[in-house]
Amino acid sequence: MPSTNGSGRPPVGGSEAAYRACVHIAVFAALFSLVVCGLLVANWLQGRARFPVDPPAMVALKAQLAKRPADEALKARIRRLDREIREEYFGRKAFAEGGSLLLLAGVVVFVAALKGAKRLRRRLPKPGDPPEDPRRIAARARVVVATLGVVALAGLFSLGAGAGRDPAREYARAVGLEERAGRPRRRAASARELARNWPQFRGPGGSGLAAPSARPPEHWDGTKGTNIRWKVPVPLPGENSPVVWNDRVFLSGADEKQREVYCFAAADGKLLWRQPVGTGGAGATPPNVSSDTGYAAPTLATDGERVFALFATGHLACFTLDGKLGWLRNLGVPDNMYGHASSPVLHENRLIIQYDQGLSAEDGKSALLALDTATGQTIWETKRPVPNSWSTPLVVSSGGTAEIITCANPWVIAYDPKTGAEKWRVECLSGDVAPTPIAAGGLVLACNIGAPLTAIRPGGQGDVTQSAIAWSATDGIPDVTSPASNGELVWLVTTDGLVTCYDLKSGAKVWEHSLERMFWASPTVVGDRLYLLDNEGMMHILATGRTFRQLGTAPLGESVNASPAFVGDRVYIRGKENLYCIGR
Amino acid sequence: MADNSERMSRREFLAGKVRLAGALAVCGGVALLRPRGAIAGTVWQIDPNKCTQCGKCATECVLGPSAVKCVHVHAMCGHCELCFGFFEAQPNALTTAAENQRCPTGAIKRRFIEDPYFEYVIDEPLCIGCGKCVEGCGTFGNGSLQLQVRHDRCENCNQCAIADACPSDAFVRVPATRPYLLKSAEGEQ
Repeated sequence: MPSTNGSGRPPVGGSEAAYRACVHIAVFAALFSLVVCGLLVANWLQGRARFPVDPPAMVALKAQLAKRPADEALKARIRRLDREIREEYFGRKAFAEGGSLLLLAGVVVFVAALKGAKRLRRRLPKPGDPPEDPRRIAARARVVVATLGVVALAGLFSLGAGAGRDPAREYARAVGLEERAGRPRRRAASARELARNWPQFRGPGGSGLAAPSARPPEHWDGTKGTNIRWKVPVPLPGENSPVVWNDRVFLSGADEKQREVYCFAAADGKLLWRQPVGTGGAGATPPNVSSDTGYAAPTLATDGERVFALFATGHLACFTLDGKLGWLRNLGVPDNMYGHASSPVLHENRLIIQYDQGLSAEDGKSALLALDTATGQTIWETKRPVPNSWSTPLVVSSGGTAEIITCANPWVIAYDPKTGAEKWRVECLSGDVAPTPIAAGGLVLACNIGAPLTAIRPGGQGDVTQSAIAWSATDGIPDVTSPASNGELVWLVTTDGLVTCYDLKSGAKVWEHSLERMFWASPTVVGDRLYLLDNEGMMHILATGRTFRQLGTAPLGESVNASPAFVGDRVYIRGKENLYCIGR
Repeated sequence: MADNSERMSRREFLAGKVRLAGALAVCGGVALLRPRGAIAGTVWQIDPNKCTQCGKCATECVLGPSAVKCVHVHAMCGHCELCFGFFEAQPNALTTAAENQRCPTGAIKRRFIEDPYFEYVIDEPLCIGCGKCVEGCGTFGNGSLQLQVRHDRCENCNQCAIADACPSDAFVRVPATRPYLLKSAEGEQ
C-alpha cells in the first residue's frame, strides 16, 4: 500500500522520496535555525555584560601599576588581560556575523523545503506507475538529510573558526605585542651561514676572529691595483665597518643632514641600492659629534634576511637585503659627548643595542635594549648604571646559556638576552670606554686605557669583582681598538701602535712591539696571522706566535678608520672615501 | 441576469495589468537610481562641539560595533610624541604596550615619522566609537580626534537609538549632501 501524506493524498513514485526529504529538511532547517538563534541570543547577552571599555579588572590593574610602575609582572598581566578582552570582544563580533549568515541560510532552506513539499504533494501519479519501495524512499531521504546535516555542521564549525580569527589578534601581531612563542619565524642563521659571512662588527662571533675558511691574500697594493678586485666610492662618510652576507656588502653613511644605507654587490662593487633613513619632516636636531666619530660610526648588523643600521641621531632602520624598508625607529638623540658609536648586534630574533648616554651614571640615561628584528618593537629595556660609552656589546655562551657582555665605566655587566635582567658585573673599567669586549678560551676580556686588561670567568651572579677575575694586566692598554685572540694568545694594539701579546691562560706578557703607526681599526686573527690595519691604510700582517714576527705589509693608498671584514679569500676595507674588495 | 457591459474582457484585464507593471517598474527604477541621501534628505550626525564622550555611542547603536567611529582630522594633529588620545593620561612608558594605551581595542596605530613626531591613524574596523581617545585628545591636546557617525555603516534609522540616549543632545540631523560635522584647524565646521 502506498504511503500517504498529511492530507491523505498519496504522492507517487519518485515524488514520494523527494517529498519526504523536503519535509525532513524543513524540520532539520527549523531546528538548526532555532539552535543558531539561541546561540546568537546567548552571545549577544554575554557580549553586553562584557564590554571592553573600562572593564573593572583592567581598571584595577592599571591603578596598581600607577603605584608600582616598575612591576614587570603586573605589566604582563595587563597585556594578557587586554588581549583576552579584545579577543573575546572581536570573537563575539565574528560569531554574530557568521551566525547571522547561518541563520539566514537556515531560514531560506526551511522556506524552500516547505515550498518544495507543498509542490510535491500536488503532483499526481501517472496511470500505471508502479509504487516505489518504501525502504528505498526512506534510504534516499536519509542520505539527503545526512548530507544537509554535514553541510550545516560545517557551517557551525566555520562559525567557531571565524570567532577565533579576530582583528585584535591581527593587530597585536602587526604591532608586535602578541606573544612571540607562537609566531612563525624564519629560522635563525646557522653557525655555518654565520661563519661564511661577516654579519656584524668584528665578524661572526664579534671577537675579531675570522672563520677558518678565510684565506685572505698576504699582499696587495691599492696604489697599483695589485690584488684589488674592485674599488668603489661610498657616497656619504662614515666610520662603520663593512658587513657581508653572501653576495652583498653593506655600509652606511651620514652627515648632519642625511643618513643612508648602502648595498654593494660583492662580485663587482656595483651599488645595488642606497636608501635614505629618517628623511623628511621637521624637528630632528642633529647631535654634536666629534669629527672622528661622525654620524655613522655604528657598524650595521644582518641576520641574512634583514640589515639593521643605527646612526648618531638615534635613527634605527631595518631593511631587507633587497633594500625595502622593514621598519624605522628613532631611539631619541643620544646624549653622547663624541657621538654614538656602539654597534647593534644580533641574538636570535633580537637586535641588541647598548645605548649609553650622559656624562655620569647619575644621569640615569643609559640603557640596553632588545628589539624584535621583525617589527622593531622593544622587547625589553634595562637601565644601566653607567655614563656614555662607545663599546659594542658581545653575546657569548657560557654553559649553554647566552649572556650579553657590555663594557662601560666602571662595569663589565652581563645580561640575560631573554629578559634583559642583569646576571653579573665586575668593576674593572674607567674613563671613556670604547674597546669592545671579546670572548676567548672560556674567558671574557675587557679593557680600556686607564684600567687593566681584565680576564673574567663568565657565568656568575651579582657583583663578582672579587671572585670572577682570572687575571689582569696593565701594559699596552688601548683606548679605541679592541683585543683579538686565537684562544691561546691575546693581542692588544694601542692608538700609537704598540702591539702587546699576552698568554690567554695566565695573563703573562709574551711580547710587545711598536709598529709606530696610528691605529683605530681593531685587529683580526685570521688563521695563523694577525691583521692590523693602521690609519694610513697599511695592513700589518703578523704571525700569531709567541715571538714577534712580521710577515708583511700591504698598502691601501687611502686612510682608514674602520675595521676590515674577512670573508673567504677576500678582504673588504672601507677607506675614508672608497670601499675596497681585496682578493687574488 | 448579469449586465454584460460591466464585465471586463480578458484583453482589458491583461492591458490593465501591463500598465500597472510598467508604472511600478518606472517608480522602482527611479527609486533605485536616486542616491540614498537624497531619499533621506537628512542624516544623523554628531556635533563635536556638544559631544561629551559619554561612551553611549559605543553601547546604544543598533549596529555592533557602532556606526559611530573616531575620525582623525590630521590637519589639526600635533603629531605629538606623547599623544593623549593614544596614551593613558600618565603612561608608564611611551610604548605601544597595552598598559600605556588608552584605546580599549588598540584601534589607533602609532607610527614614527621624524624625531619627535609621530603619526596616529585610526584602524576603523577595530574602532568601536567609545570616544576615550577623543576625550584624551580634547582634554590635553588640540582635539583632532572626533567622533562621527560613519555613513558607510549607519542605517539612518528614523529614530536613532544613540540620539535617544545622548545626554548632551549632540545628535543632530544634517543635510545628506554635507553629512559630516568636523571641527577644523580654523575652528570651522
